[in-house]
Amino acid sequence: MRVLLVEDDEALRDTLSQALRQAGHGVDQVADGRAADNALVTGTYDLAVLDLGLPHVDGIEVLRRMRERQDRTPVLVLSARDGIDERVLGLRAGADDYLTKPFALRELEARVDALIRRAAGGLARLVHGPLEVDLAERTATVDGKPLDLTAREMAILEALMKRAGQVVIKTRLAQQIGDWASEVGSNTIEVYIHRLRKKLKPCGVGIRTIHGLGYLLETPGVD
Amino acid sequence: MWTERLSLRQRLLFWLLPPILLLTIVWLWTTYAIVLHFANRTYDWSLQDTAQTLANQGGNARGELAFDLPPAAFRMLEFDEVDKVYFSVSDDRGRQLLGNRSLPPNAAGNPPPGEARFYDARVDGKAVRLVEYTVPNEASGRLLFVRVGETLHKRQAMARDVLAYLITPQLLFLAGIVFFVWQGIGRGMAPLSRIRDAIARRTHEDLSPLGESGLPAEVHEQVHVINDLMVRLGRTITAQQRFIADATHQLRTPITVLCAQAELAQRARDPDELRAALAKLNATTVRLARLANQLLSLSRAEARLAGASAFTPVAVTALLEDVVERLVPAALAKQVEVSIELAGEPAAVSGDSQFLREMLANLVDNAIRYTSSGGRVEVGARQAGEAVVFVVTDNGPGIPEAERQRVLEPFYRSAEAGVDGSGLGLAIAHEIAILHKGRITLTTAPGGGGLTASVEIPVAPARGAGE
Repeated sequence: MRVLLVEDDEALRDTLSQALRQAGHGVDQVADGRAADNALVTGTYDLAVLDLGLPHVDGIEVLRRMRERQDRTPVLVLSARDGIDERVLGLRAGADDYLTKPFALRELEARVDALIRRAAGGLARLVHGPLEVDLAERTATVDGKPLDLTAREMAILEALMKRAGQVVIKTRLAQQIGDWASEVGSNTIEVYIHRLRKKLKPCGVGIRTIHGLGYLLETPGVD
Repeated sequence: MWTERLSLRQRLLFWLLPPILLLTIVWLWTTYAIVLHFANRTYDWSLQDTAQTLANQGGNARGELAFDLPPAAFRMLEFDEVDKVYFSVSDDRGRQLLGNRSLPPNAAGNPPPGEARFYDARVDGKAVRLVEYTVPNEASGRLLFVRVGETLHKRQAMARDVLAYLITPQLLFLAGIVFFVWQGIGRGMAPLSRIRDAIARRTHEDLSPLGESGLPAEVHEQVHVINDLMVRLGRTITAQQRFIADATHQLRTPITVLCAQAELAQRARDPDELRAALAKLNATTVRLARLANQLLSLSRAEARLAGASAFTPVAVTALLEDVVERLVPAALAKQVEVSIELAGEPAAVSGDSQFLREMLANLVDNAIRYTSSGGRVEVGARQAGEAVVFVVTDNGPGIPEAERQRVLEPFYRSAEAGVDGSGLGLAIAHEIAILHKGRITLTTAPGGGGLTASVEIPVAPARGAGE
């Protein structure tokens, strides 16, 4: 999933983006409110992780502008202020969740997953024939046996399974798993799809290529 | 003194009662004297009557001196239930013509004929009140002296009575005064008790002003001063709370980084990854340590402001060299050139060398931090009258004029800063400058761009001059 990380502290920004990338998300990072605003207007994100104390434009203001634009991207607010008033202010301004510093990385990751899942319709598990994906645990199994996937492969599989039987546009797929720093090209997507096909072959789940458009997860036994 | 332990009410009574008592005694004595005076006059008049009656008997048709009084008349004359009555008639040769006793003449001289004079004397060892009446004998041209006296028992008894009748109501009167004064003081001090109760009822966090209405003028002033203090106290407490909140806020981010980096390090899959993660972790701990030190310095400098400070003369050159020497490694690592520019040897400044070193270290460290690689930082000092001006100049991005005052406040960071700083360096320098009765000024470095921080610190008083 593509995540926008807005945090003015350089060390924290680096650490969090490293953690989110390890979890298979494409992460764009910005250090101030103005840049966050621009990024949100121009790009499409599955989630924004937003620090509140930002230079130029305050985090709350960024959030307000987002909601004014009818931008429904889930937002996880990070703040060093832990007063009830602060939390209420953040949630009222349109935050979906609020995390107070300091927090454990695992908690951030769990909340990020939960927000993305909720945006996807609240499903914790995706099932497709013998294939099962646990969105919370980020694991895939075939008939109960674990499937060894990299974070990127996992992200692509998730995207395909959410729209099983429908076309997932290639460029969108690239956008979701890539970020500004490492632009994911069509070729890279093709490589990942190739690897996924190989890993999924034994269980009879196929990925069909729609030329010039994208991919489609076939329903087993239909064709 | 024992009076220090007395309550205000007791003190007021202590000051009011003795004069009231004294005035009462004076009043009592005066009344007593006046009553006695008039009472004595009445007795004197009856004494005079007796003398006159006696005198009128004197002389016969032949002009001879003769008192022809029947014994019953003498008994009448002498009769008195309480006192002994004496009388005598003598002529100007001192011969006693009549009387039951020889009575002493008036020491102040005999009264002119036809007049009566009163005097005191002793007869038979007893105090006696006497009246002397001079009677001219028209026939012989001689003078006769009629003296009548009586002992003082009647008068003394009357005086005792007067005193008794005066004292009893007077004591009641005094008791009344004490009672009403006590009550009055109590009522007068009721506002004080109200204030005491109002303060006693308060929680330690309640610094709202005490009610100032309905108070007597004197107390009003005290309460106003207390309220004033409360306001100032409130401001200090708010500032401290803000400092703690800001400090906590400031610590939270690096602690989050530390936690996250530690978790990432735990997940490292190979030694290289682990080493990289630990290096980042180390950098964060260094940053946290620096922040903790800065918070400590700031609170120490602020706390020191309140206490008395014993300053000693601090040599300027050694101070600068010491500070810069420590920061050279950091500058070299950033490829920033640091130099010291000294114009002569400035006089020693009056201060705390530890604090001054910290102030300069923060300024130089700040300059190095905000100057990009290849930049220059100049540190200098020159004497300007009764002060030494320390100057730290860099050719970094500078600080916009509008923000120059605000960057001296704790935790304020310029939006343009873009560097990992706590926003405390300049605040610490500012605080220490104030502590040394100096001031800090931020200007654009000569040649445009960059920042010049100048700190004026007063020089130490010359040895032997003054204190």
